[in-house]
Amino acid sequence: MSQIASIHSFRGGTGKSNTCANLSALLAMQGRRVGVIDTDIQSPGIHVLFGLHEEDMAHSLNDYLWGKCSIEQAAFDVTQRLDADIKGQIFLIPSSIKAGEIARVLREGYDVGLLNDGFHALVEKLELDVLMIDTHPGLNEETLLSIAISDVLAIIMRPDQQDYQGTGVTVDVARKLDVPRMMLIINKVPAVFDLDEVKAQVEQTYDCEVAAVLPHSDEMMILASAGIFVLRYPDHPITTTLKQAVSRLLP
Amino acid sequence: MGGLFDRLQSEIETRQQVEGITPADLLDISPELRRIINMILRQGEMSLTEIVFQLDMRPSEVKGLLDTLIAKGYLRVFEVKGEQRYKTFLARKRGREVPLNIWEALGSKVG
Repeated sequence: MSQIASIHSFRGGTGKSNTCANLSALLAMQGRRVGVIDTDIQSPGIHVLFGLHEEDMAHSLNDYLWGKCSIEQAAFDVTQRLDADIKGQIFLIPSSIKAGEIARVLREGYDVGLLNDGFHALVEKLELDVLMIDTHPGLNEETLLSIAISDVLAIIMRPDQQDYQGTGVTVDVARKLDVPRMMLIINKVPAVFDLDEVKAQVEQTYDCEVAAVLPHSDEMMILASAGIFVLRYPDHPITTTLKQAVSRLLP
Repeated sequence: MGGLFDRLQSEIETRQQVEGITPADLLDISPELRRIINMILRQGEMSLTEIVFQLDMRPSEVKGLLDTLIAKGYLRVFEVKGEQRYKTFLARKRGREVPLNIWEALGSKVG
């Protein structure tokens, strides 16, 4: 049965898009058909991780929302671009990176019902096993819709006081919206911290399972979104942890 | 002819009737209505039989809740092969209401 998973964080800069791309790649390596949709219309970016450039985007999510194309016409099969042994497939639905088109969405708004129809149409037409939604940080109309329709929600947070408070709000909202499976991923944890202790503290604070605790990584920083970490570093401890997270989030 | 307040009130009421539910409204409605809306949102569209099957409630109770949601403008009903199906009617996301000259200035910069 197909599943919809949202990857969300209350604040920006948590590594949400990076985590979404890595989890998607791991799912596709298992042989699954994965859709990745960038609903961060105001500040899109996940296309960079998949090596998709502005000139490659014949269509985008924006075009679909303006009635210029079907949602599947805005989906790009990026599997081959990743140059890795991937048994499944990854389809990316990018948001437009053109400044004028971002401004137009902000100015005119869009049909939220059409966005929801698009999620369901993608799952059906591309025969997806999983649709991963990369959201805009914080709580707004798009993110609330994404959370509401998700079977699985992963909330990314850093060990930071601002993240702690915002994550609490997000967890409360997700509980109110009856998300069937919700887990936390703690990212960019300083090397001096005891990872098990951080996991235990966060689980106790939010009464929510932690799917992964990811230490700060110089390799990740140096990669700088120029590729997908788990493909570049298949034997790295972070890759192992992300594999475990996938098996918890989307068994 | 009514006063300005009456006309504004009427416009607000009309807008609320036709505009559908916003994702933020989901947080404000009662848990039993929210449960149904969420379920239909996740499925895309559902029939009464499918909804009753998912909930531990009598069909008449479910029908009452569906009628409430339709009256609020949050659900729409349509027919497929003689069967009534329900779909969440989501409100359009409005554009940002900022002074027009901001968009003009931005447009001239970014095309």
